[in-house]
Amino acid sequence: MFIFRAIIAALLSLTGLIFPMPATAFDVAILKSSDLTYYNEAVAGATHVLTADATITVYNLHGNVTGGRSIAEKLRAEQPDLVIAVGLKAALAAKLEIFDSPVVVCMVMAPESYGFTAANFYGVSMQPPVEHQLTSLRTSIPHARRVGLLYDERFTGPLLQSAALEAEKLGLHLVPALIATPDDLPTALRTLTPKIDALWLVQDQTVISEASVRFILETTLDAKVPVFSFSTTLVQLGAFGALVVDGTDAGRQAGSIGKRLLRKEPIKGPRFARPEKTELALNLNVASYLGLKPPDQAVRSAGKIFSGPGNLAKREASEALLP
Amino acid sequence: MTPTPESLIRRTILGPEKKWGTSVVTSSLQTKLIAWMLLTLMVAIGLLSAAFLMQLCRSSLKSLLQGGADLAQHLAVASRYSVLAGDTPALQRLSDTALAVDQVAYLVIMTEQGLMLSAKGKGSWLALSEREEITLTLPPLPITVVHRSSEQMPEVRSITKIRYKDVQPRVEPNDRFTLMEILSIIVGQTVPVFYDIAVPILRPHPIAPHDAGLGVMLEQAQTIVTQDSPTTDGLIRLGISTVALQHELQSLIYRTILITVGLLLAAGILSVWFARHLTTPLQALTRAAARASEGDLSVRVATHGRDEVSRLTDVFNGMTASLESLTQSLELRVEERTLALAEANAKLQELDRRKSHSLFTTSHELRTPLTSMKLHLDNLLDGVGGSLTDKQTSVLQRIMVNIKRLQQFIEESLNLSRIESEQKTLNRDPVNPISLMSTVVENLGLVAQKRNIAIEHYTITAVPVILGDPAKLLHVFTNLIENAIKFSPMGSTVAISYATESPHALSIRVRDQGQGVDPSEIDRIFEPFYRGKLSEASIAGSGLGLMIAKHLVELHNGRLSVDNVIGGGACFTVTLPAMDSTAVAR
Repeated sequence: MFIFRAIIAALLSLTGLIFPMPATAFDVAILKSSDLTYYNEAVAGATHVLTADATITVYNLHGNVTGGRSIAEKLRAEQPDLVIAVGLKAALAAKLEIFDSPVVVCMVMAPESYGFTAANFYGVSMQPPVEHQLTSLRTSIPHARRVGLLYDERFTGPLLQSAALEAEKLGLHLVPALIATPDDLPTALRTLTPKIDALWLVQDQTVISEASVRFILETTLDAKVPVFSFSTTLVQLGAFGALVVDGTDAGRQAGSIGKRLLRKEPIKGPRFARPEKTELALNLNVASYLGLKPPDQAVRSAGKIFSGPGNLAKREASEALLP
Repeated sequence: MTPTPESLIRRTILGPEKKWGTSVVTSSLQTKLIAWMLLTLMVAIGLLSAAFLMQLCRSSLKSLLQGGADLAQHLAVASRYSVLAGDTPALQRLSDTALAVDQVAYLVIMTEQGLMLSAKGKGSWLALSEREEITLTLPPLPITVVHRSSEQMPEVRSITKIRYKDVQPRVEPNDRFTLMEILSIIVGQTVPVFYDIAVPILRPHPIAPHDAGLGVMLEQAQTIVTQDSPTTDGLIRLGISTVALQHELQSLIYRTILITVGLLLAAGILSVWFARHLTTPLQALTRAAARASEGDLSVRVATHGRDEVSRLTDVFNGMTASLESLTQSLELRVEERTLALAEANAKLQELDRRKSHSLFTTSHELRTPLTSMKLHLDNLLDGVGGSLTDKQTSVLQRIMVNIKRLQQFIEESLNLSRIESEQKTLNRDPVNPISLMSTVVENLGLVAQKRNIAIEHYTITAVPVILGDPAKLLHVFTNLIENAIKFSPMGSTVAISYATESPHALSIRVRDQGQGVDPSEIDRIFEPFYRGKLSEASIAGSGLGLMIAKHLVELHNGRLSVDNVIGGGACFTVTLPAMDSTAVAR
């Protein structure tokens, strides 16, 4: 009987040698700010990258930072191997509660401006590099030399200097227009449009708002000034083109950073990386309305092209103006 | 009181006749069955209908409020940009569009700070359009969250029931239709009830859900980093009228009532059919039992099916069959016994006749030699055969006494035989009882005198005439007075009196002062040859006199009775029917 049991034990140990068990899976927690579509896309992107190596648990903050702090406090006790914070509220909750586990922030417009300075914080910015944006503008609107820029010193001030340098490299002349409040916008825009060949809209919180978007687009369309922005929605509404960041891609990039952190691989470059993958969007209707023709190279490289019947800002007026 | 068979059957089949004294108890089983079934069905159907109506009202109201909440949420979404921009004309156009919906009574769009951007109403709420004091027409908003909405829609902040009272809207504490309101709707009245649905206007979310660049930026721009909930820009207050709903409910309620009445009618018909189906065999059984109780045991009831009533019918049929057989057997036996009794009676009558005949013949045959013996004895005592010594005379006198006693016995036996043979033959004539009694008293005067007994004859002024046989009545009175003289002590009195107990009856009383009659013998002294215990042996008598007297009185449809008199003695009373009172003997 003893011999029989010994044989069985030996066979079982051999089986373990032949079919090795996988390494212990990492525990990854994803904190999601709310149930918005682009957050879900980012979560999906991160999950896609990490799912092979980790057990992933997604927590929804439902837009509530206080509730998010409770979740983060619980996570701190559990000490997951990695936390991915999707959206600003999730990132703030993680900043306030999680100190040991590495945190990767994504879907935050300018993470460096929110004081995520702790050593365990990494992330992906939602702002494409300035040079990429200006290059895309130059490629899409080749005739434009004077490029206007509406900005608030608080949000876009740090960017302005480098942007001017990059513009010069590309043969562009940046025409900045400073505003301090949203109320300054109409005057600044009306003053600016006669001086420029194109308007470069950056992610400035004073400039861009629900109320201002339609005004900017209507004004620039009236002035026949093409707008190059950062949003497919703005392109749909009347902007000429945009260099956009996709939620899924941002999530994937955050997942890749997290994967390296899990594997204890060194993170090269800044803590908050610029989006690796961007996409050019063009509205050919607007181009046609403005009497412009984007270069074939630009059209070929564009990921999203809007043409034919579709949304256009100030539709009643534009219909009358369309040939 | 012994119950009759009919009452027993009625009690067995139909239960107690009168217990509560109500018509329900005394009514038939069929009526009771129908009544109870109808009552049960009415209660059940009524309760079901009431429950259905209540549920109908609740569901309809819930649907209306759900639709109103959806509309308010959509209006909150549609108006958010206009509210953000303060675009009042656009909001008023939106209000006009919303008011085109029948159920919408008013729409008020205001900022979070309470600034009125648009207020429009119709009907009772028209004053809102005219920008009157909003606080006067719109009730205050309670702080109760009713339900949550989907992620894309703002939550409904409250649903408040408002009722118009005295041209002023008042907030009602309950959020459903009350019972009185439902009753008012049923009777066709319109209840002025509205529902105020409040939905916050949330600050717009990013324009496109898939636009991460713009979405994240706008979200961060709108959100203060320490703020948890999305900013609210304003409030939609949508008034929903229930008038259309009430009209629909009225129509549905009327249809429900019609269906209920139809169901009740059908249930009533079914109840009647079922009750008849159940009670018809019982009624047949009742009728059959009644006929059986009247003596018709040939009655049978047809059975249908194999239920309890059929088994009862089988038992009843078996019982009547057994009773019929038993009755027939009893009747046969009674007939046989009756026949045997008749034969025995005839034999007895024949024997009695022979006995009477034999007695008569014997008495008749004895009387002749006795008469001859008495004549010769008289001659001897009279000295025809020579002188007699004193001793011889004494012996002959004792022989004479015994011959006379024997002769009297024979006479009475002959009288009895004659009476028995001629009992139905009375020679009726009007008889004056006083005159007849006076004759008897006179005849027996010598006998009474021998015993020193006085006969007192008390007559009355008006004695009715009797229709009777004078000879037989004379015999009766003679027997009674002779009997009284015999049983009265020496020197006493025999009293004769009359009494008219009624105009058609005369009582004649003969009272002596003897020892009376032993109470245990009162019924036996009228039997033949019976002599009382108190009668002295020296008193001669055959024991037939009273019996003959009684027999003759009864032949006159009268009555002879005897009573003991207080103070001693017996009183014999002859009661005879009198002739018409006009024929009065004086």
